[in-house]
Amino acid sequence: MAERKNTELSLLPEEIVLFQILPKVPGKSLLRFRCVCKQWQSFLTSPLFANIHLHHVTTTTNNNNNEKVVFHLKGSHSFQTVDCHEDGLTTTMPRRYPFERYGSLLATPVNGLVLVMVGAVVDGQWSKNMILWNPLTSEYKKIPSPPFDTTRYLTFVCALELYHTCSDDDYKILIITTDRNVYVYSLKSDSWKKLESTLDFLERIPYAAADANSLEGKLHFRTSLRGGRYMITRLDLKTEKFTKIALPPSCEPALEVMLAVVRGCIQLTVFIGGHG
Amino acid sequence: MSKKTLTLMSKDKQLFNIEEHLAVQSVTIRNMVKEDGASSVIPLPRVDSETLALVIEYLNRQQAPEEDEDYVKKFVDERGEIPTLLELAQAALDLDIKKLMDAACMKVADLIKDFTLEEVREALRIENDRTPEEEKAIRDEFQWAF
Repeated sequence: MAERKNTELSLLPEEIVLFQILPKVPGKSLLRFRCVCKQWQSFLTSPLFANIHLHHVTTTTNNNNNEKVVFHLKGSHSFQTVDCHEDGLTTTMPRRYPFERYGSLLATPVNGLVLVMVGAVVDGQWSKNMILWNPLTSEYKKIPSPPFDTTRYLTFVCALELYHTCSDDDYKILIITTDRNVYVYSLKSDSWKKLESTLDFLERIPYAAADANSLEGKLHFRTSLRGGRYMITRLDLKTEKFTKIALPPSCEPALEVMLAVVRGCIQLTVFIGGHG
Repeated sequence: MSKKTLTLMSKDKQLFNIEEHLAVQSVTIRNMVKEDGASSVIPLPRVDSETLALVIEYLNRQQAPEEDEDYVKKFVDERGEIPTLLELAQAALDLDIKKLMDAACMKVADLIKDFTLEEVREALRIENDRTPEEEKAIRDEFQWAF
């Protein structure tokens, strides 16, 4: 009987295996499965499959893709990943970074992509580069320098976010500089552009903090004003326009405000000043 | 008034009766019923009788909606043989029963994720068209995953 079933299996349409089963296999196994046959390798490395797999991972809670944490191994040029299962943690073997030298994590990772700053000596000059990196596949892309003086990079930047836009399936990086300019990099066009329309609005904001959260196609920035007042600045990722949301009056004056997106709602944690 | 019954016919010409309101969980059958009333026998030329019996068992389940998720999972878990699961997934795809197909494919994915390459090829009847050199190149690149 096993024999009979096996002969029938050779007739299995590819739809089941390629489009229904493989997207449910965890990424680490898929790296191995590139070896199975030529068809699998070209399919598994195609942008089409990347999208199907991502869709599966982001829309199902019961999937095989465990949470992963990337650890930098201090004093070495290596990192390792930790898979978080229900029943504990497993650590993979240390791997070398595919690029010159690890510097620092720049933004919250999105869909397994990590934005890091790396430093290298080029022609006797110390230079810094932003790198968008997939720790699973080791692929990485050097991001071109943004159109401002990058020698002061980190002191000059007050918000830096990596995000994915569903409407055009692109990855973007947003930078707000301390002099109130907003730059957006698009991976698809591999270029930076300045958001002109937002200047007026941003001029009135003394400080936009670096923590942002994405919700329903909008980025939300915790923004501090003078005198212990805060508000939320919201960037619509499609129209690329900023709007603001005032906090309830009971939140003032606040010592500190923290912003998170939990289950489709913006959650604010407010520390009120005064009596400790 | 008695409930309306439909008759499904497998590839090997076996007949299965099922109440219409349960059969229409299959989008394919639902559309057939809508089009012509499906008074006669519905032929399923790609589904064998063993697999169709499983599909009927699944469609006949009497689960409260909140327990349904667990039931589907248990249903495919108990039939953990890859050839059976693949047949079931194929039938569920043809009949457009999404939950069953997803669960069967999830189970296969779960089973093969820790298989060796040889075991994957055997389970899914895939011919190895790679030279040992090509395979070694991928192994070397992703050593940590092997």
